[in-house]
Amino acid sequence: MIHPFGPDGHSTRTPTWRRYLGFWGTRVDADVDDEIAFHFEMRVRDYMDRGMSEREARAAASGRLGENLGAARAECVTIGQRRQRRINRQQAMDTLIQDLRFALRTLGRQKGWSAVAIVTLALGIGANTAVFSVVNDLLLDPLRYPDPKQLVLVMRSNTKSGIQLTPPRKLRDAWKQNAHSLVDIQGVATEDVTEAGAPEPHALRKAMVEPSFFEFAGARVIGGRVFRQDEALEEAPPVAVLGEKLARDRFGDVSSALGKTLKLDTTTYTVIGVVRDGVRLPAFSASSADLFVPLLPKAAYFAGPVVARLKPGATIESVQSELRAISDNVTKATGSPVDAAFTIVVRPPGSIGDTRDSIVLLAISVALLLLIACANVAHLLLARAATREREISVRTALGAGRGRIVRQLLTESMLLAAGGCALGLIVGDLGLRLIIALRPENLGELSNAHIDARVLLATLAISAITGIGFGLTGAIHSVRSSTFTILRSSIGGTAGKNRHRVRSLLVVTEMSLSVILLIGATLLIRTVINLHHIDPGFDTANLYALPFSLPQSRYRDSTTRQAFARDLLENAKRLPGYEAVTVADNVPTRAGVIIGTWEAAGEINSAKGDRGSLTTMNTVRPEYFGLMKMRFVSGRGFDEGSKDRREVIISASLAHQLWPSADAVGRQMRMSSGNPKSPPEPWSIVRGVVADASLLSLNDARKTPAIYYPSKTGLGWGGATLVVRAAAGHSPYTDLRRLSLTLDPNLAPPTVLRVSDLLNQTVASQRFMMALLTTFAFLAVCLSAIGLYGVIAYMVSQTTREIGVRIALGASRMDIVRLVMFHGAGLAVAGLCVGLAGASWGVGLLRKTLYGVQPTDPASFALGGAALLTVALLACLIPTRRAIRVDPVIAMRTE
Amino acid sequence: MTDSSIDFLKGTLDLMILKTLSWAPTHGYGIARWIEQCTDDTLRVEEGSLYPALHRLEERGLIVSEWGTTELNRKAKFYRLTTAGKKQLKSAHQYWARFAGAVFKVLETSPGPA
Repeated sequence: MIHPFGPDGHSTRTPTWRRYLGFWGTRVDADVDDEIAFHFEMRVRDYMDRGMSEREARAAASGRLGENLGAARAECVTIGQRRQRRINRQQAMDTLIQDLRFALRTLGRQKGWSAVAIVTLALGIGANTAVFSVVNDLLLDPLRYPDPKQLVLVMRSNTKSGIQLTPPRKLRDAWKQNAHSLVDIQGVATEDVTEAGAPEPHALRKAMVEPSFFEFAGARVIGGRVFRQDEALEEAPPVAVLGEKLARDRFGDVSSALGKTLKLDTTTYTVIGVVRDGVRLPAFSASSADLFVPLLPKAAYFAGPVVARLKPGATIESVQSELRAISDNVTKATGSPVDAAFTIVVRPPGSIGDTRDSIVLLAISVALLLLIACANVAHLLLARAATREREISVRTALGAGRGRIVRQLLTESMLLAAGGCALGLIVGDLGLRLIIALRPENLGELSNAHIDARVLLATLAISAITGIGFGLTGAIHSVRSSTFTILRSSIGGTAGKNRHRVRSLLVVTEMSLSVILLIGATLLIRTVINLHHIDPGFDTANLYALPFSLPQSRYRDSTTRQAFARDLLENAKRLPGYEAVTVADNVPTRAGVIIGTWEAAGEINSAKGDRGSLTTMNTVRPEYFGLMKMRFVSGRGFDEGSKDRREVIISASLAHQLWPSADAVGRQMRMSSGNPKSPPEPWSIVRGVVADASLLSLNDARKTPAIYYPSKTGLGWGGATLVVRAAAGHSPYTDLRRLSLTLDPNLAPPTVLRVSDLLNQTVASQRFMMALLTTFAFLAVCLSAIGLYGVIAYMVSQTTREIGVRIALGASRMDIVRLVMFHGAGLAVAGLCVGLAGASWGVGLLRKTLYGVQPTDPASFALGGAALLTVALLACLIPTRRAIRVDPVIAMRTE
Repeated sequence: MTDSSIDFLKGTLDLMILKTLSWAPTHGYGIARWIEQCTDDTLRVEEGSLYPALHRLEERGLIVSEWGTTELNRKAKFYRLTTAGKKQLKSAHQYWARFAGAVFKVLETSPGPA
């Protein structure tokens, strides 16, 4: 058989230039053109072989090819491009899988190394995940209502005293009617009610809302319906919308709850709907409710800030000025001095309260921790790069492109980051649980914090950034050090030195960040110690309180309430195991407050004070001060006749404010009405002055003035609180609960509160911050110590020969110790200096949290710095020991 | 020519390309020349259909291409049959033989006494 292709038989040798083209994506159209051109040339040759002249042959060939050639070319190009895309995808996938497999193998070969890297990252990422969950929950979107960017909270604030009040209903109604920049404005009232029922009555939290609230808050109705406008009236039959949990607990499932009734205190509600749980409330004390009932027109106050949804285009400033203008009109009409003392403040949700600074600080600290963790992993990568240098240079020499090697190293670090991320999520979840368990009371909403999609996304982003970040650092470093040098020089070449410099820089960074965290932690530890030593002004040992809130429905008039308080005291007195019992309006830290200024009889300028200032108020029986073991500065406590004589007892700070240079006892005072039209209050006589006490919070830096009114029963405005001092070793929980059930079987027994717990709760945010920051600082110091250890150990191993020579030449052990330690100490001190500068700038954020210690407290700075130096020296110990044990003979022979 | 006859011809062209490549790898021109020589220039292979057909076959994975040089030291794109291409050739060959035989039978048979 003849060979079909004649002289133009094939050869499979691919020209090199074509091979390269494949790497950059083949130029499909050029290929097609080449192919056709070749065909044309061959056709011409063929015609010439048959005897045509070249010109004739060309004309004939182009005549033949000309038909349909354009369309054919286009079709070929289309097919080729489609195919090329598929190949590229396939190739990228293959490379990725190959890289991943290789990376997994490499990491698997060094299990210990990989574990350290992953755990380090997991700590950093986990801590960030946990703290970001908190930030997310408290600052970014605390209410979780639809369209959060358009939401604002409206409060009344006294700029001088910093006191914030929730706007009253009348203002909200005026805004709702007149404000043009708002879509809607909602206020929520809450009340703890008793559900009478088997086996024992128990408390439920009821939220009073307007019918439109559910849509406003994005509540998901899963059964029945929400309120109608005509159901929000006094005379309408009571209806309730239950939370899902309550509906299931009481009635089994959602659908069978509908139409059933629920008796709360004396009102029987018909269940008309069920909503999914998790509807958050803009309230100070309660962020969720068990059930919802219509807000009746008579309700005058809300449980927290008013929430408004802005119209598109409205700014916080424009809304604030509009709301102020409207409220000015309202308050002018009423002439109330309290209203006049407060201005309307509009803010985005999540920025109210002192917690903001703390949370921001936590977020910063935890970010520092992550930086340190990353620096440590970068260390690990660099340390490993030293051992992999040869591998990489061999691969480079064998033709692996830089890009390929960088990609390979990046794949490895991304894999590490992915591992760190996965483990970090677990750490983060545990951390978040821990934070929730430790959480101070004023972070109440936190129980709702969880790792949601946003947190997850942030974590993934952090992981990716860290992975790429330290991956690139290591990778660039690896390929930059020239192949040639590495292959030739074995150890200690320029690349090694360069890397050493990078690692030293990393250690300095780690050290400086650690110092900042250490100083923050020290300041907070000192704060907590200071708080621990505060004298609250009364004795908290075995002091308990049982606050009864008497439902209006059953304790309508003063007589029944007085009777309850009297019964409570009589019955409590008969209980064994108590040193003293009394009934009062409240106990610390739940003191009632009066807003306004006091007027002293005969002192002309005494009423000049700020109308928005705050006085704590309690209504007590004569034995109260004795039971609390409060100290009298002058005068005496109440007796049974005090109420009739209109006597009061005031705190030293209030006495000093009214009569700066004279004894207050026997003088007269009253609340200044501030409104010439309303009749003045009658005068009260000061019977005694007690030492200032922590009535609102343990660290009451303002020394809020206090006033005590006498009472025969101890019943006050709020309700009746049974205050007891138990005998040592007596547990007050069961018998007080039984006492409550005996007095009123239809009242859910109140929680027995330990007053020392209440006090501690007021400083819980300091303890919480201390616990977290100390943990972060501890981790940071550990990580940077490991980093420093790595650098020094590396230095020692690199200079073994040099050390050997020195020893051989007669250097003493001390000289060697000095050599190594100097290096470590140098790095630590450099870090320390940078850290101190950073800390002095950063501690300002702590100002509100600290107590009894200045943010720039030199002792704390010194302590933090000393702690770091100590740890740094410890980290250098092991390498130093290794250095002084270098045997000069062995050291000089090896290599 | 109607549309159906074009499809018919396309299928035939694919088959002839595969058959040509089953001898040895070659370039597009080689394929065209081989088919023309085999049929004594009875079949003229149109470049306008040859190259798209080659590219489609390549996309289907029946043939692969590679740039090489001819013996006259010219660079040209060579096509080679893949395993899948060999399989396809075998089944298409059988199908074509049966199909052509059947068509032939119809053409050759004269109508019987109805």
